[in-house]
Amino acid sequence: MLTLKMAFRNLWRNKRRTGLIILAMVVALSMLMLAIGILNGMMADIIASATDQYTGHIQITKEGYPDDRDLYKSMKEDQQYIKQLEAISGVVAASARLRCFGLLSAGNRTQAIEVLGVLPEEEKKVTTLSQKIIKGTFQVGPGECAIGQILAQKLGVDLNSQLVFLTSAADGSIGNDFLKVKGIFKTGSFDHDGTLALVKLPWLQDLLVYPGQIHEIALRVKNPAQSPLVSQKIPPKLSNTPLLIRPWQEILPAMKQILDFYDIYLIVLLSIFYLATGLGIINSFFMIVYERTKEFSMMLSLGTTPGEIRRLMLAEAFFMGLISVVIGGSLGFGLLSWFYFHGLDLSAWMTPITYLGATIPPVLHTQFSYQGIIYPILFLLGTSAAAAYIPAWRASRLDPVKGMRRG
Amino acid sequence: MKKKLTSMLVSLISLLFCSNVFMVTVPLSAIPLEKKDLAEIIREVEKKYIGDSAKGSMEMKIVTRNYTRKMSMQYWSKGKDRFLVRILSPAKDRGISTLKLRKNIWNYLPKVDRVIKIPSSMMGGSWMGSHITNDDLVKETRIAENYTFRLLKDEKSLMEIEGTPQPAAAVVWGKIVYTVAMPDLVPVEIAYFDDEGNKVRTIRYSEVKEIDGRKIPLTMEVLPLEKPNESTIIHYDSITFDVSIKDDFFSIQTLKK
Repeated sequence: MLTLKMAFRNLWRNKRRTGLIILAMVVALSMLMLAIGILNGMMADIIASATDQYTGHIQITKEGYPDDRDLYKSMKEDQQYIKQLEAISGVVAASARLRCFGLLSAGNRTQAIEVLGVLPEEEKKVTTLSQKIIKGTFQVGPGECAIGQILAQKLGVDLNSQLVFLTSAADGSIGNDFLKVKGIFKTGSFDHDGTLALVKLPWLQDLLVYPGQIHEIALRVKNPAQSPLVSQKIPPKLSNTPLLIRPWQEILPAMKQILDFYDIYLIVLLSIFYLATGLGIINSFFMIVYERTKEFSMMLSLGTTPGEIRRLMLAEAFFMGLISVVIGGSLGFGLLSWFYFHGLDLSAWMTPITYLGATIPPVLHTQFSYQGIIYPILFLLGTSAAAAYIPAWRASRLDPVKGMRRG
Repeated sequence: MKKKLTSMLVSLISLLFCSNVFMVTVPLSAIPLEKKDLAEIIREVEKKYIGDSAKGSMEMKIVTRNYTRKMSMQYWSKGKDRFLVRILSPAKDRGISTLKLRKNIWNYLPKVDRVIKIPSSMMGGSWMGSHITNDDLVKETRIAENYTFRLLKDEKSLMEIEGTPQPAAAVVWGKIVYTVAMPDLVPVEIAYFDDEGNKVRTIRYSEVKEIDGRKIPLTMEVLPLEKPNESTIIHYDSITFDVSIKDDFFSIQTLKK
């Protein structure tokens, strides 16, 4: 108890010295919290853009459909089955989709596109495409479509423009009809903005002469990381049609690898960061021992045991660590919150990066995580104690006679 | 996806053209004397459905793994360069028309009121899973020009003629074998072989009827051998030869009517 008291008082004997060490630790802690927050945010954005925007967290298709997206590899649009899916715990919503490929023209401009037939009110619950509408509406009716902003640009069209869509219908005929632009979306993904059109499911079924058929059911789950577990609860057959049920980790295996790698990356980053901080703290403590040689020698001469000196130093380090945690933690938390709400706008230096179907937006938002806050704090306390140990040990082993003379 | 669309457009066109698939565009005099007889027979066979000018109606039934489809069509032709066909039923495809002028092909889609000229890059596939490709349209009309013929069998009622590509000719088939009923030169079967000598397609003719003094098989069955249960069957409901049609009937204006 006396040691703690002395240690605490010692801190304020040389305020500048203590302040500098604390400052170093505060900066290290808060910056690390911020860095992890930004990385977490980036990862969340990547997962979200890869899954929330278009893919969904789990996709149910007929076996073989993802290989070639063959029009005929379809399944029944079974409302009961969809209700059944939505009742599974962990599933938030399900959206049935029919997909086809064709040519979209306006005047003499033509683009090859992917058309996704959805029920807008269902799709809204599963993907975030509806939130990416920059003009018009997501609620398209029969003969209406929502298209990507780049596609609109390429075709030179705007809201209420009339387009002609041509495709190969399921009965072998040429599916051809008008489409009116009712919405324009911007996702940041070049693929989706440049080649995707959303239409109403029943309309597309009519055009394709494919009544009651769909190609996939996209699911949204509460916790995307749990998708593989939720997948296992899904009935693998729909009236004898063998189904393929894939969580996004399977649909986007590269994305999963990135995330696995990210965990390792975080540990490496943390280690490097704290090694550097630790070395700084060791250096400062050696300076303390050097400065206070006379003081320690005096204490030793007066009968303080080397063990007490050691504990005194460690306690001082611990206090500094504790103060840094309080200040740095608050600062870090403040920074996290600021960038959580306001984002780190890098759009002046970078454009959205699309990689493996995911988009990294130019405005980075931090993401809170338990690990991203607790680990840096524990690491800091550990580092400050560990870094103080060697200088403390040095101080306890001083030769008091030599030491006194030096001062 | 572009390809898919392409191929379907292409095969529509070729399907619509199946009636004059076997036109021969080369003058007989260009064919070496000793081969002339066989080449002339082939030419006769293929001119069967065309004459100088013709009009008529036909029904086409396509059976594939994925769908069965029936269409009825009306067509007009003049010589080997002019051809127009219009879908009458089913109702949803009514009015879809195709025009051929020499080597150019246009499609008209009445629902969206669009005329689409088929670029040459889009002429190389199958449409509607029908089993006639565009090469049947463009290249089969040059069989006599590009192939050398040999008599395989010559019986009183039946003749078998084998066509093999001339060395420099750019052709699709490695070999074609015609079976023709004599003496009226009515086609019975045409077998198509690939470069490895495998038989890949058969066209069978049946229901021979005499129209305007010509004996014509009214049914034509295209059977792709790699898809055993699939077929395209064309049946002529009516054919009238030597009708008076002006050249400018075959125009975009008529196409859009």
